Amino acid sequence: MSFRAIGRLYGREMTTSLREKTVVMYTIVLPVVLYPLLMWVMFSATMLVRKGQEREVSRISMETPPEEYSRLTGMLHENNRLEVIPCSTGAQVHRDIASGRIDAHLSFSRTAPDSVPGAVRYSTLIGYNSSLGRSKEAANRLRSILESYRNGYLRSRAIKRGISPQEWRLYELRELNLSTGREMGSFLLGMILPMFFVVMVAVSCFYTAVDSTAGERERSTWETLMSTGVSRFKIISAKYMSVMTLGTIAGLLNVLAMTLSMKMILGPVAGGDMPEFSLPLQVLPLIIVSAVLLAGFVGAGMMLLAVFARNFKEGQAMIQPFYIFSILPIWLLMVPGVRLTEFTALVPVASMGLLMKEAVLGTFEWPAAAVAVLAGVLWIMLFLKLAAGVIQREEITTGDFKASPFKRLLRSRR
Amino acid sequence: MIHSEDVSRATVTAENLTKIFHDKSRGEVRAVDGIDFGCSSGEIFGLLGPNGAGKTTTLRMVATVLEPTSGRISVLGRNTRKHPVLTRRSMGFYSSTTALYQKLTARETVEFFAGINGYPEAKIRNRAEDLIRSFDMESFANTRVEKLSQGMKQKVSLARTVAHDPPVLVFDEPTMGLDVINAVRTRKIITELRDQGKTVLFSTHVMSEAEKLCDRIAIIHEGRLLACGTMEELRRRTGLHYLEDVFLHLLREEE
Repeated sequence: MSFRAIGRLYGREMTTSLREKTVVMYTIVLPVVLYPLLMWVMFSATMLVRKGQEREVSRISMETPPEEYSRLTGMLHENNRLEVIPCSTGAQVHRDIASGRIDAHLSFSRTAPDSVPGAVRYSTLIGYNSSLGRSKEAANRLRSILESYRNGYLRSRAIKRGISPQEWRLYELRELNLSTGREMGSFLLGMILPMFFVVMVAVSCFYTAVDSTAGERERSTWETLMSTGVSRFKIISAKYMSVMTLGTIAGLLNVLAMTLSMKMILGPVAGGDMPEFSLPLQVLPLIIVSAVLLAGFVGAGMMLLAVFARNFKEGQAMIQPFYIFSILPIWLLMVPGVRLTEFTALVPVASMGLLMKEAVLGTFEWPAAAVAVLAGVLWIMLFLKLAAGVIQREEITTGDFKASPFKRLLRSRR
Repeated sequence: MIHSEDVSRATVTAENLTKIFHDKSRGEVRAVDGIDFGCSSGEIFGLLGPNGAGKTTTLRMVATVLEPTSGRISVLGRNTRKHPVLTRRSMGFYSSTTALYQKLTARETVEFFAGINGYPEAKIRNRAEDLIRSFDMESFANTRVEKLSQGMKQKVSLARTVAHDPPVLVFDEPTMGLDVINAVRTRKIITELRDQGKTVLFSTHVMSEAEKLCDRIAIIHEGRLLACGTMEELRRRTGLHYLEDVFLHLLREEE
């Protein structure tokens, strides 16, 4: 098989595609600008809302506390982010919180009689509505003050009973996060990157697959090409390679842009425990492989459908179900604990996303990765085999379809 | 004007050529019904007939875009069914459904079609230069097709059709939709190609055009060949002078 003609066809496909504003938009501008921009907008908005909530004063209603809780009352009144307002009765609390008159309610109930020595005689109840942001925030503030009050109370009781602070602290609970900045960064990248990556590759393949088949037919260049001295298989191969190239470029550019944006946007938000957002060079080949396989699978599937369309609009309609089908498996990427195994490696799209996720996390295992690559190649070969058969059909060459797009698809299988 | 390196005698023959389409509402449609013809190098062979007569279907079968339901087409001695790629390499096909890539320049278009049709790689650049000169395209050779006028596009289209210097040329209604100046220019180019020894298959529904341009004319109606010959032969057969009268006479005879 001579590759010169394929090379020339591929060159023409790439040249005309990259001169097409819409292709450049979907393949370069969107992956580089849109999602990082959306992420920046999302985080800025979250920060703004968060800051607004922090500035807000929470209105708390409180039943008259028992005498020994007088210090707590003082603490609540002293806190400038709380406003203690006259008490609501139990029945009104729900209504008052819903209407916004109060954000949370504090009540005390006796749990043991005075005669029981050393017992905690009251329990404190925070009433709030977790579906309301301001009420949840008020409950958090109350929880923090009560925790601090409780610690002080326990400390003074311990001292009164002759228990030294050292002895008392033996029961103290402490935590230590052992993850490094790089591990935290990889974890966050592994959560976010594969999702955007799959969507971006699919979006790029969507447009280019329709444009290089149904689009050509609409512009009447399809027959020009079909009447040249090249086999139909070479024509479709060159087209497929260009769709795959553009999908891969879109995916890789998106990975790069997202990593850089997370470094610039999420990094400062994380504060002291700054995650390190970087991709080690050794994982790049695996990311490239997963991008090529994903673009190869999605591009082949989309072209196989779009080739039955008479015009661009029809092509979009025919590809839409496959597009949804391709991006559906990304839910698997978000399920905690789902890993790339010999089984998940057989699921198209998900396996490519998982391969990329594990490459970013540095947790992939070679046998599963090899199965994923092999399965991806087999999927692509299957699609190409189907395409090679379909392209020989006369109506594909001429575009003289009479039936509806989906009937055409069904007939092509006979 | 166009320098050809290979003007060897090329022959196209069609024997009992038939094309049947299946239409849900109309049933079996015989678009081409047992046509026979042959044309040789240095000849413009015209297919004349009204819209829907089967001219385009016939030429599409010659160009291997469509496959005949039955019958045989031979181009340069090769069976087109067995050698579709080689057939297409030896042929330039032009029709209203073969548009140009809007994003390529005129020069890129000519180079692309020369290369893809197997013109020797080392000679492509020179071939493109020759065509740009001979088709008078110097002023817009590096301009994208999308920015060209209709007349300029027509020149690029004709240049891309002959880019690989094919011995056989198929023109399906090449003057359709053109203004008088561009139509005359197109006819002049086709005549020059014939004079270089190319085999030219040409379809039209314009009687005067067929009369002026074609060396031999095949009159087609509803997929059937009504008559075939030189203008003189057709006149002798019908006893009428003008092609329009000849055509109407043959139609009446058929009915």
